Amino acid sequence: MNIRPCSTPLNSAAAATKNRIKECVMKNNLHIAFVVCSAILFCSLAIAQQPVPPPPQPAADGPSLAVTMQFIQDKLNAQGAIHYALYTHDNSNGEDWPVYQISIHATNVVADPATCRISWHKVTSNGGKVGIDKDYSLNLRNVLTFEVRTSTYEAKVEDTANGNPALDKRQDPPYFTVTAKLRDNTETPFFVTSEDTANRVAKAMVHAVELCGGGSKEPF
Amino acid sequence: MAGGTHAVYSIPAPATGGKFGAGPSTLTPAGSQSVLHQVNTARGGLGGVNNKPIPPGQVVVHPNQSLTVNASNGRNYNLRPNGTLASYSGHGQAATFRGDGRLASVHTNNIDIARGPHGQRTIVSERPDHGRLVAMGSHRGYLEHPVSYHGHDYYQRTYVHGDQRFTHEYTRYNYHGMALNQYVPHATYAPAFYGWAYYPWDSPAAYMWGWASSAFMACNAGFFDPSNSYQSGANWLADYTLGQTLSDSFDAGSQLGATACSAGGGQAADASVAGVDAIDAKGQTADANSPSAGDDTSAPADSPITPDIKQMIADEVKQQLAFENAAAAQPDQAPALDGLPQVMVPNHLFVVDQVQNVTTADSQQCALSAGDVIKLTAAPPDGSTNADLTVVSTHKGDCPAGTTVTLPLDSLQEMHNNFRAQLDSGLQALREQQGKGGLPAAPFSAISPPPVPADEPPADTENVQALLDSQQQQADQAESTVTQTAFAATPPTLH
Repeated sequence: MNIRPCSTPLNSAAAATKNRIKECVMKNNLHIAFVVCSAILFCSLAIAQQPVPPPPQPAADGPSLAVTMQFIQDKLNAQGAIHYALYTHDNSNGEDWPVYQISIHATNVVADPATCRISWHKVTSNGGKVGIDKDYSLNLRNVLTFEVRTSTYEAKVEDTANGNPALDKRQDPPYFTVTAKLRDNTETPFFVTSEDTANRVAKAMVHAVELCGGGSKEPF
Repeated sequence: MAGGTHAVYSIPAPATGGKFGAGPSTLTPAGSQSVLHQVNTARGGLGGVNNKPIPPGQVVVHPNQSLTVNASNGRNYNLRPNGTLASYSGHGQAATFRGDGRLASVHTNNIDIARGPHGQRTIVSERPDHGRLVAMGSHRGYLEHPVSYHGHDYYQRTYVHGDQRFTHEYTRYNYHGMALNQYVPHATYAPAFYGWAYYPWDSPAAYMWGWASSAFMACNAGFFDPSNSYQSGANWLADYTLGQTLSDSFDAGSQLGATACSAGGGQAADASVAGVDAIDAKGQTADANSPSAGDDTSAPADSPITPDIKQMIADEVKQQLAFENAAAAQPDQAPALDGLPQVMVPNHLFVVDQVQNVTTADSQQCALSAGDVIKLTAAPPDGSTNADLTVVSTHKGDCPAGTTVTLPLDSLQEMHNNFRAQLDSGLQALREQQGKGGLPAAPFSAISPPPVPADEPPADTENVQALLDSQQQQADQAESTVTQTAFAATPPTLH
């Protein structure tokens, strides 16, 4: 913008000229004031608030925790009762134990993403006689790792831990476990009928543990 | 009126020479003598510095019944209506006092001292080499000086905090006519990492803080209680910044240290001279928690940082994460994108970083200490170097919650700098701890790009701790001298 000069033609009446000059000076003063104010405003704006968008939401590495927990819940509830015949050979004395008809049934499995917990009710029976009938819960934040085990290996680990390493057990039909190893050196198995399901549930549980901030603190 | 306090004097009829009006009135010599006699008689029943008689001088009576006494040798005293000393100046020194007689501030030609209601002391001195030495408590402080590095001008602060030594970098800019120092983060991150900290997590993360059982937390129990579950990185970072601010201000090695839990969250207190000043004629120590006298005001109890307030601070964290992300993407524009001007909007919360002596909207004096939370009431008008804020959370003995206080913009800049420095440190901790200890794992895209460290000048090698020790001695001397000079029977001669 330019400031107009305030000169007037020489033939103008003196008084009118004076007024016009005065008016022109006022206008130009206003003009200057406007320019100065604009400059000040611009400077102020330059250091005033600037709109900033939020940072981008990172793409998740896999399914969300809610989806993952729902998958775990659905797969475990779908297992139903697992029935098998249990054959046991005691290597310490060479004896075979009677064959037991065992049933394991996990019901009402709830995998809660809000608490990172899986809870369920487990009933076991031997020849129709109920053995265990109680509620269980697993905090995924306390899990170090998961292992997929055959039923034979799971039984061997349990028996060894219980001081009976000489027992060899075989299940017919065999089943699989997804066994959580916890920070307190205890283990919690989940029972599934197929190896494929066991691997898929284990993968989902590892992902859930990562999303829940559990797992081993070691880098590898 | 100064808190509605009853005046301990009356003015003899002829004392004003017939000129008693709406403004200040200078009393006649006889009137001055009469009023001073009444004031000193009343002061005889007070404690500490308020027990000492005000020397003879010309008395000016103000409309609010406070008094100014212009004594010999250029000594000036401002007295509250109840006779307590509000301020003193003379011989290149100026000091302000709380209603209970304790020092609030001292200013000399080479040192500035601010004291909080709990004895905390901040000392600032300028050095001939344009450096600035700042002590915050007896074991924490920094040396600041300008540095040019790789074509950029910085103000580098070398901090010492106990055994720790570290540097922070700042850039200078102008805001409302003031030259302010703005914090420069040590590192910037991938946009996805800022985003991961910004947005809610899939599930609340159970988390136990390492400092949950520390002494500073014990001292702040009820005022600040960290959560044990977090919905997002922003919520976790909010507790991180609050906890670290309180931790930094807590000086376990100070003389009052852990025993000072009852007030100010156990923040660093220097008892040396404040304690002497607070000892009254009967040998009793003035109680910092006693009801305010004169024009002081203080909170009778903690107004804690409630979950709602923490959520508001988490929202501020989110906003700052957006600023930091934008600044990381445009480093040349960073000062305009992530600094104080961005947050000078109504209702923005500031977390106080160190003791601040402030004036309320009704002209009362009070103090803020680290961890107090204040809310900007309105953006300061153009050209104003101050802003009005409302106290939201406060420690017992500090400014009461709900009070409107005025703070200079450079103080708000320092609070914002502290907030950003804590956030900077918190982001580093969050990145290191993701996927551990209950914190969810960040997506690969958020953590695979390594942080980009700032191009920082080399650290200063000066012995900052020795400088701070020396400064503490100078401050002790200045505090001692100012009260001795004010009430010396034979005042020092003017040169």
